[in-house]
Amino acid sequence: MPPEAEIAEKVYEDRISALSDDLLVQILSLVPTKDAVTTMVLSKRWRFVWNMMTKLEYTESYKAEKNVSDLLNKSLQLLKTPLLESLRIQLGKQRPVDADVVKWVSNAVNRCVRELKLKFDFPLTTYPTTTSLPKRFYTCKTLVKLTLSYNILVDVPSKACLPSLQSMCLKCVVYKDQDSHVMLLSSCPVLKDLVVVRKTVDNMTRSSVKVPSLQRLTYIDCSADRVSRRSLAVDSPGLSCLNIFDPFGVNCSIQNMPRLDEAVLSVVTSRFDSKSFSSVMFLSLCLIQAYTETDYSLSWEQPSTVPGCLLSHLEIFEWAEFGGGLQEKQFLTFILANSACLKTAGISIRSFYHIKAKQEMMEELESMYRVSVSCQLLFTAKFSNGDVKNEQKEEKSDSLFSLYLIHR
Amino acid sequence: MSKSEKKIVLKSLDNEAFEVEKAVALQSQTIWVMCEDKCVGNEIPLENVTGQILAKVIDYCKKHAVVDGDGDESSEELKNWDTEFTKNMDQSTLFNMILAANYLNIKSLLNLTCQAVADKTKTIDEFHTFLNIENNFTPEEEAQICQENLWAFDD
Repeated sequence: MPPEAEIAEKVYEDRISALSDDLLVQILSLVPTKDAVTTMVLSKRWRFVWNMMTKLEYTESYKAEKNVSDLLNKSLQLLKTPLLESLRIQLGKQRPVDADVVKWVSNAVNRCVRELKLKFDFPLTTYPTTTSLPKRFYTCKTLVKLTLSYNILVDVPSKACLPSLQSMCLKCVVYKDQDSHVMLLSSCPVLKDLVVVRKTVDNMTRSSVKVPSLQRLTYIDCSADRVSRRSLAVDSPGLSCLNIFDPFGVNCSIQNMPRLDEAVLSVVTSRFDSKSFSSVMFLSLCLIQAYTETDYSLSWEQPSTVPGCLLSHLEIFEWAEFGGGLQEKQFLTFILANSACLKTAGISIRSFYHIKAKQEMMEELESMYRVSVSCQLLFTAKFSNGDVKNEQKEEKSDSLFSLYLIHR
Repeated sequence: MSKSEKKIVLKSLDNEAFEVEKAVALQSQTIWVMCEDKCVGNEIPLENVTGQILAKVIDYCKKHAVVDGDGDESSEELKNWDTEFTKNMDQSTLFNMILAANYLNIKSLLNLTCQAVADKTKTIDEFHTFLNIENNFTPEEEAQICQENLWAFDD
């Protein structure tokens, strides 16, 4: 065969139809479901391939859309696969009737779904504002990963149990009442990852995260609602990674975390159990000035003994928005004079200082005694905005490796 | 482990031999099982993969082995590399890569190559043009399927 003819044949060969059903299904699962279902008219080979899809994903786009309820009802009804890997539905404009949502989720639960992701972000004028999930969803034995976002009402029945759920993200959902969140968490015996993002009105005042199996927690509450006096209590001894962003929260209590090795905290007045940070290796603190406080200077008292973490562990120290006050200098002096393993100390000086004043301050800091001879002092660029006040917390830790402070 | 034991020879369908680090080759579950069985020596015959495709598979495995090993490259860089890797592959190479990844059981490569096909085929027209799928329905049959499944086509 002459080479040109060989090339021509290659170009016009239908290679995909020769793939096995498994591979075709795998490819189709990566195409949006609304497009994947249309492959039924491609050719006889393709007539029923889509029926074996194990991942359904529907994301509403801006242009004119098919009727989503019809599409999901029919495709779920015609699906032949007994096991559904994932169902992801993201809606913004079209609000399905609750009965349809119940149908979709129930269908997925019947097919032993492993991942469920629902994002209902309806316009503010929509009524009712939230959508409920069927009761049977809360007893799904196979669910491993769950994401619920926006206009969803979390209404947990008394016999809830999600025995396989390992990862859960609750983003701006509304809770039926104060107990719903606690009941949901207590029905997840193997939960490892939890992300909670709060909206301003969600029927929950006291947030409590008490999950023995939990390893990673992210909690974000940006609502500047200081009237409801929300509180957060974390009591999960298995946590290794903690991230709390709660710049307006009134009360945050963290305790009992012997395995913690990374913590990023942006909080106001907080009560930390000293044992909580005993194993932390990376600590970033952004302690925020409460609105009621008028004293903006750093308050620090030199401890009577030098903490073990400074003597034998701390290698990286960073201080954002160093203000140059007397107590701040004393604190820095203490860190540099006692951190025997320190490799770098990065400091960014507050931006409102004149360049000459900054220069003088840098010279003064350079001249401070450093017990670690190899320690480099670096002056870095400034960090992001906010009213921030720092305190020293690293003294509680035995194995601190790096410490980041933001002080504004 | 001596230096020679760290290396392994992969032999393609058309008898092309590739000497690679064991850590690179063992990303393939199929090769991993073959090595575990110990019925093969240091040379592993791969009867379903041509030398041209195997070379590409090894490129991919080398890239991913290095990154898993010392974490020098960020996941972002690796993602960009993956995108470039499949970007200009012709249809035929892409399908041979899917078959090879499936046979060798390299999950991440299978995902990547399937994704590359999925990215190029969103509409029915794209399925027909890019994948050269011939429509063997009669016009009447096609009209009937559409009529019975308005939910799927009604825009």
